[in-house]
Amino acid sequence: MSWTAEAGAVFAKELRTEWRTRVALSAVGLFALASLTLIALSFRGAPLTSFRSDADRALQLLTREAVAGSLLWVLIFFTAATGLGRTFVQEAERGTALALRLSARATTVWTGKYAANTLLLLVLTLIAAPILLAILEVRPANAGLLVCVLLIGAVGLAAVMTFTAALVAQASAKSGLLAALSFPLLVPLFLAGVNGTKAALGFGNEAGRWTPALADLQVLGSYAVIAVTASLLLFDFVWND
Amino acid sequence: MDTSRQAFLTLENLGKSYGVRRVLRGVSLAVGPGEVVSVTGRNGSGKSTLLKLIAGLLRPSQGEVSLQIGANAKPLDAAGRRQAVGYAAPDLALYDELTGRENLLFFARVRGRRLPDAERRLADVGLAGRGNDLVRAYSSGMRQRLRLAFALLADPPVLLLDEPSLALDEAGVALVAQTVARHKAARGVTLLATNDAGEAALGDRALVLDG
Amino acid sequence: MATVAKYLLGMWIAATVVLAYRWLPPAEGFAVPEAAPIVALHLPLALVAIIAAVVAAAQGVRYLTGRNLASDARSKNAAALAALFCLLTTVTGSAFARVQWGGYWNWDPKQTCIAILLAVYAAYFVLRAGVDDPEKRAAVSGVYIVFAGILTPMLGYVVPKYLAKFSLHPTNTQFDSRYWTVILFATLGFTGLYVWMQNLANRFDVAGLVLQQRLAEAEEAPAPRLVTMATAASGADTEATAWTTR
Repeated sequence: MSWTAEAGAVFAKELRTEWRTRVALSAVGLFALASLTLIALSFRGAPLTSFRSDADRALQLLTREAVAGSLLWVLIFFTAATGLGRTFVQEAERGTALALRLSARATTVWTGKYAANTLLLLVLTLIAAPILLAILEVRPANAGLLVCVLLIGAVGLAAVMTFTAALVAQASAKSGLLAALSFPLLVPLFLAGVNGTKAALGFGNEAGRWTPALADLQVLGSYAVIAVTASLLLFDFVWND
Repeated sequence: MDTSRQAFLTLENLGKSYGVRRVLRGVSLAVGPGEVVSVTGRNGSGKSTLLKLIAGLLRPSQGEVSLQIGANAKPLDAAGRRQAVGYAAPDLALYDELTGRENLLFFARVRGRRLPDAERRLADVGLAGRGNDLVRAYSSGMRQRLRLAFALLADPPVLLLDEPSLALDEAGVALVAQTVARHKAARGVTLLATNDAGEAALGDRALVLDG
Repeated sequence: MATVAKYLLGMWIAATVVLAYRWLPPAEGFAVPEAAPIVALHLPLALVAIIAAVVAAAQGVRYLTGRNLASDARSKNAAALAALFCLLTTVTGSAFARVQWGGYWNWDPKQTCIAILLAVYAAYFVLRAGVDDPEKRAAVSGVYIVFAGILTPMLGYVVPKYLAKFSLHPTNTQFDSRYWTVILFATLGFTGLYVWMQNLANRFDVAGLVLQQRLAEAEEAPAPRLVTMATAASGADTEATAWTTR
């Protein structure tokens, strides 16, 4: 009987503390919302080639290439949101940020961490993508294009995530905040990335040509450039008082 | 230290508030080459805050910090001050996952400097032979010694030490005194924030922050 | 003077809404012509939402360059109002969409863009709530709103291209002069409303900041004193004015 009472006491305490840190809950809630939106967008975003009919569209949305393309980006986003935040959070939690601020220029700090994050993300993506494709039994129509899309996409994604991580490291409740903060900013990247991936996998592009995805690559490229430039310009304001 | 690298520090009515809480009231002070100033006061009187303001780690709510390297040089901005000072404080953590030597080498490289004499520097703070151990394995006294080495890394003209003898044994306390004396002999500027009377006695003057 | 202006503003908006529903002719080509006037209100709301967003970003920049907490307060208020007007835009748009096209949410590009903007503001306020130190909070908020301000305009170009299949916003609507009049009136009215609310919130926050400053200054803290060590060691405390003159 007392065991139940004791477990009940812990349960009650959990509810009370969770209520008092409602902010953390809203971050997690936004994270869930961001995930749902990403899934919806990646399944909705249509290739730039037109469909012949509504039935045609409905059918095509469910083909394995389309599903693979969408799932891959959902996977990449969650991997990034989980793995790329540690770099700044650790500095803040361990207190090593102080020594770094005294020794290094802000831009060098960001660039170094960004490069490390990009490498990490690329390695994870280039390992996970083939496995996912194998699971779904999809063969890319144009492997080179696929690698290009993933590469340029990862470069932009890592930039935004690295920068947002610096902001999140200042907050007290960090769970889910990185995903919630970065997702709205990443929508252009996801739309172009999913589209380009679908084209590379052969969706609406059985011949595996590069041209259907050229616009996507352009968007991804310009996004990456804008993200990196903005990060370099703004990082000092958040890193130093 | 040659005269072009001698530091002149002036604080004009320097203050810091966090919202309603006033941590530091207007402090004015002038320190020249070869001087040692002890900063004393109760816990919470703003000693650490003062050192952080001088080091460029915090932005003042009022007043100004003016640090010139060289008698007729322009005062440095916050970024310049961060690079120019040697700073050590209890909340300054170094990388647990790196060894003592790797830490020193990293912080030197990130400043754009080489460190050919890393061994000597480690020996100077009493860490000879422990440079290859991860900082995670260091005792608190050893960490404090490494912090001292970190502060001295760039041979700075200004030394800001916040409770430098914390966690140190007798030999360590002597080391701190020796470091301060050496820095003074080299005509550097030293500020020591401390609660300890013995440490405070290392200064030529004392800035008392709470009456 | 200000009170008169406020009453005038209230009447202006009320008149605009009444005008919209009484004076505007039912629009042809709309599924439920009587519901068309909501469009005349929907457009101005969207416009004001964008104005507020720009103000929020601009005040964010002002904080980062001037480090004045008042700018941060203004930025936060503008962001809150931008979120409000985004919400109103979405609601009016949604209501119209339900009537006209049969669904509340259709992944229309403009709809999606406004929704993403709302997500940016939601994240902005969650971020603010997570930082305790006012100066850190201001810096982090300012940086986020500027960063978002740089990246979100891309939405306006990218989203319409990718969600073009879902586009519901008509591109060839001919509004007659009466609609334009109402739209103009509503734009002026809503802008006035926004300016008034922003101003009110700003004055409140700035007053709070000034109060804080006064309280901090009034704190009885003893002045720091400088002591030369030699005399301290001999037991006598003297007040030494030891400024080194240069």
